[in-house]
Amino acid sequence: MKAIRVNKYLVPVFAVLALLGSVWVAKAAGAWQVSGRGVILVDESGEADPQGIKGWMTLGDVSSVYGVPLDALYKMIGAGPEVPPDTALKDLEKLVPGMEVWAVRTGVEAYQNGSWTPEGGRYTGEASEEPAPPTPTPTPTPTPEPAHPAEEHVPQGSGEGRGEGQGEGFALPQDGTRLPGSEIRGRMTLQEVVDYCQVPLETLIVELGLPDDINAQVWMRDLANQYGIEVTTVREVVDRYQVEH
Amino acid sequence: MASSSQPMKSPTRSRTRVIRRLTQTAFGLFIIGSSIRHYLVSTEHVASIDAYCPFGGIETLWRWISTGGLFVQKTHQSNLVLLLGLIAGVILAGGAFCGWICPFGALQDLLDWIHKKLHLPELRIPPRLDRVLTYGRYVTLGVILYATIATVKLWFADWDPYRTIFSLGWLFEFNLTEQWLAYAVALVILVGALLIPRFWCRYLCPLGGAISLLGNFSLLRIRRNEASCKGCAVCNAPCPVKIDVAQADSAVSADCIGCLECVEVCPREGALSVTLGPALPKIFRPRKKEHSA
Repeated sequence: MKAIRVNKYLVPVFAVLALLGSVWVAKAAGAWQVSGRGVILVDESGEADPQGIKGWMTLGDVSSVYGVPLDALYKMIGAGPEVPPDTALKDLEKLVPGMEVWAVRTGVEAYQNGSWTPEGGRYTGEASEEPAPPTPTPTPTPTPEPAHPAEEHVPQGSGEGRGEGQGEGFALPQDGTRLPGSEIRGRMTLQEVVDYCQVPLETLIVELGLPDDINAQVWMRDLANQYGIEVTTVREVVDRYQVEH
Repeated sequence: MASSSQPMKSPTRSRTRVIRRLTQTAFGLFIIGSSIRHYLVSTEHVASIDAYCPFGGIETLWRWISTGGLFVQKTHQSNLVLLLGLIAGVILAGGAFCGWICPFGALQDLLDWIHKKLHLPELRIPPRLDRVLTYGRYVTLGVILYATIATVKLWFADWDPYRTIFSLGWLFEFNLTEQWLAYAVALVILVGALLIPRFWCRYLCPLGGAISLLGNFSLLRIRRNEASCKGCAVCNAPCPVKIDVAQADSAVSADCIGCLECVEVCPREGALSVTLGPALPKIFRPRKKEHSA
């Protein structure tokens, strides 16, 4: 087939149209996402996983997605009726003393597995059970990612065993076997993951891209804030290691 | 050979160059504006420039396929969408993305313009060495893809000169202690681009490497009509990536960034033109029959 001569400006026009056209089509199809915002983490059964609760979610979002009535949610976090349901959780941290996103995650988990009910008042189980938070590792993430760390879309994860294990939220192996990656929770420290899941610290450092001198007492939930690493990523790395070893 | 009666094109001001500069500026301003908004706007979520890079789509593609939908951190669906758009664009129009859209390419063009205005000496790379160095793009591409797959993170992001420069971290969060390597790499690339036109694009750009590979199959190509061309080599001078257009195969190299400068300056009507038609990589093309005298 012989090539035909065409207007030279078709070159830039095609290049620009192909790029912008793909964006336009993706937007029209609702497939244009420039962050993990708006993505709901679900477990293998397709249920929304409370570990996927993010700071951008509003109280209304949490209520509708995770099936927690708004009044129960208000009691869970200790917020008064003056707080509107469209308040984002990260903003609630400034409005409600002591409120943190991770507490909503564990609180919703506790509500779902029945270990907390609205009659019990504000959900403080995790805070009261746990020691003082470890000193955050001072090393910030080396990338110049500013105010809006990107969030990873994680459409899977296991909900099995959630809430079991002496109220700790994860089931500690009683027979010397290792804890599966799916049981890793945000309130476990890096050292606990190493010990319970029997994964070398060095492997986690390399696979997760953590600094070599990281404080092993750092909590999983703090990895997200400090290094942009979600708990689900740690689970994947551990699962992969356990399959290979 | 061309006959002497071939019509000559009348010299015109480079309208193409003006349009290209405007297009490059528009895309560059969009990226810079996104970075500024990302730093300064806190009332709404503003994506970082990571989300607007088609190379992020290449980096996350393996993870996305192998895990059934997971992304490498800091990459999103937008990266895959832009990658698809880029692939479509390259199949249609070759490397025009580099010449008309890429902000880093535009920045290097700006540096080349400054270089010319300041009458700085140009570092001339011997053709053979130039050809060898162009393979650096494929090495960069391979290393980055391997490391990204192995580490499950944007391994290259910490040193990526495009990201270092256009994310504006050096402006809003200058941190020499932690970012010195990124700054050093960016500085080397910028100085390189000041001395060698499109230094990054020609020798190191991993996205350029991928585009060059795919560009072998592009439908729109600049072709040299050997019957009309007198080999005056006027077309060689303005080429930003220093392709020897005057000696090029009938279909000009897949490294072409589609800037159209050569077509614009060619004094002979029809010697260089843009054509539409299926193209095969050089190694698949049938050899021309030798004409006997």
